[in-house]
Amino acid sequence: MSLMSKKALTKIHVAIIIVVFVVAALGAYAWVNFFPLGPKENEVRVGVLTPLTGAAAYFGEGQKAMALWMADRINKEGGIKSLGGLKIRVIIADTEGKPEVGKAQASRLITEEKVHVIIGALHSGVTLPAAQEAERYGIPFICETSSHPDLTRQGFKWFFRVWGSDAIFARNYFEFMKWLKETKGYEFRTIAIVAEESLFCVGVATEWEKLNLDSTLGGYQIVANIRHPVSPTDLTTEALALKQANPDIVLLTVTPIPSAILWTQALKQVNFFPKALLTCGGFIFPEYLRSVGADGEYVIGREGWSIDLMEKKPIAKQIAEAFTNETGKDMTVYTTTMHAAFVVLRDALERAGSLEPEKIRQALIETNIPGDKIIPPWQGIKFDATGQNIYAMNFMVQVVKGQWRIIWPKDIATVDVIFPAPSWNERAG
Amino acid sequence: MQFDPTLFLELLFSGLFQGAVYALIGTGLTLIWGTMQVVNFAHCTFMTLAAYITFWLFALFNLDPLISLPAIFALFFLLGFLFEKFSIEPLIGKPREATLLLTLGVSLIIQNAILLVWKANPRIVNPIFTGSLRFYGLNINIPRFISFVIATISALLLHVFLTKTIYGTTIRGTCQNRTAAHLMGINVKMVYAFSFGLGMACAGLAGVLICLFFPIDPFIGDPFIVMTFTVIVMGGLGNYLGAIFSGFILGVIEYFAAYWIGSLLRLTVPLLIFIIVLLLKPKGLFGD
Repeated sequence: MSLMSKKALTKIHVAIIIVVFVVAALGAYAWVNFFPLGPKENEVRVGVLTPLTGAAAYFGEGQKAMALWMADRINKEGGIKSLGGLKIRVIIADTEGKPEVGKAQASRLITEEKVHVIIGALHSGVTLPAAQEAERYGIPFICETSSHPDLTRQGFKWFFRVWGSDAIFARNYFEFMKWLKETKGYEFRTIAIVAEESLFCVGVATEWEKLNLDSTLGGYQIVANIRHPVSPTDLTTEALALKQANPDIVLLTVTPIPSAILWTQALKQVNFFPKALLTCGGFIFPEYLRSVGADGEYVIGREGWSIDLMEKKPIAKQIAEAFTNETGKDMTVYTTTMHAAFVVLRDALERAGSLEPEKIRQALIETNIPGDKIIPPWQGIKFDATGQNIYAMNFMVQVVKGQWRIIWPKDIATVDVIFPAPSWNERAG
Repeated sequence: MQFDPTLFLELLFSGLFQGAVYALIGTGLTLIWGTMQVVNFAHCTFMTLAAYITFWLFALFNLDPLISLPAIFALFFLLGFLFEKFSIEPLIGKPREATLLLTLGVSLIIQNAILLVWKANPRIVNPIFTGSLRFYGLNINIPRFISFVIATISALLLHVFLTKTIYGTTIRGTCQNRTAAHLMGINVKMVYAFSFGLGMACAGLAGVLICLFFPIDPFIGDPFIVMTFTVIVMGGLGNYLGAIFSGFILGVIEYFAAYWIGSLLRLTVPLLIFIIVLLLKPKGLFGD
């Protein structure tokens, strides 16, 4: 203790301490400013939210394959040239199709993986909370497929939807029905609306109900309005209810393919098929047709992808053939929209020339991609003030001889619509 | 509303057919619980695995599910026997959470392994007997009818086995008093493994039957979990006859509720009945 007391602080000691502090402070300042903390920006990190488990895992696997394939393709072509050839690294996050998981994954992608852009998240119910996270942190969110109208009614600044809104798509169904009446001369009056209880399907059904109130477009008598759980184990009762109501047209929306298969089986079991079965969701996939075979004939659906597009658009043929050959996956509407999301991403990054979120956002706002760069038969991709692609639209397809063929609009149709569809008894005969 | 006897019968049959599946899954689960007080959370996942093996046998060797049924039954008995011997047995006597967590973990592993091997694509098996029988305006789904017959016969055979054979008596004796059974010279560990094997064989059987009428995917077990647990609790935990009856009762209630009250309430009404039963008989319909 006595020795310690003899070594009191001198002026020199104080001066040394001050110098050390000043040098340390300057060093820290320089480090933070010239060598920022976090991962070095030697790549573009893109988070992809998609369901890899749960009822929609089949769709998610296709999306994952397309995202990795597109990134690989862009990287092989020299990466993002305006960023000195930076390569894209895709980080896939499984949402399990659950909103709470999607939100947590979005948060993880932003805070831990430090992604520059998020693409996702297939389910509207998952996209909403995930997009809220992106909004909170100021990270651009490119929505590939989710079509719930509310997504672009939130006032989001960082949200850009490539695919259409159900408000647009639902209208296409009624326009198609009107066209059907006018061209085929059939006077049908009654419809039934059927939806599984998911955010997406209820959103679609609600839009249908609203549009039917418009007497110039709808005005049909709704003889059955059925909602059922998301993963049913049987749909016989619902099919029986439809049979009892006996509508001319059935508007049916379910998401998982097994539900679409169950609906087909149930309608066959109760021996009922309407004049037109207009579907939305799980029907329009190769796996559905492989499963139900000839029982899928005459089903009508809305699509963003059809094998017919390969005849209509060179880009569709080129992408579909290369993707299917190299990954072994089917082309579906979900892989089509994932492709479009990567086209938008690449274009925005090239024009932004920076990885700063605000610059990427500005580039996304100014997006104007011509139709020949994307697979769907749209004029292109251009976002309005809400982040909605103003050119997105539907086309209607029908199963004819085991293939989904385009039947509407007329300018891109490849076959004539079969209406009214034959009953099960007529088919057996 | 006018009473429609055809519709009534169609709903009744559909409910019974679905109830038979609940009964079969529930029987296996309740047997395991009754014998060793283990909650097997992997039960419905093993059912899914059986469905995929059935699909594989169909896709690779064109074997109809009805032909592969005995083989799957035997395979899952063996699988259950070995699973109990090497995984559950070391945990007997430990806190109940241990087996609960083990079966939950195994369930997740199997589900993800299925996803890895067979991918998420929905698969469908086209059995020899398909379509519907139509008479007097009534439509009877043939695959569901076959699964109903097989499930009912299996449940009855299980009942005969447990009540009329020495092995069954041994299992029931062990259920009632493990220590007494041990003192009487019964190999309790072997009874446990045998019961678990039998329970799993029931899950395997249910997996095969589901293939007859249901598109399979890695998560088909999930929608059955709630109803299966409801069935075994309502029947009286550990009481397989109770599980069979509850399966049929809840299946029929579910179908009538779905039609008359609304599809969204198809599970709500059976669960409401379940709560009422528990309020009146806390140990279930057939509980001791």
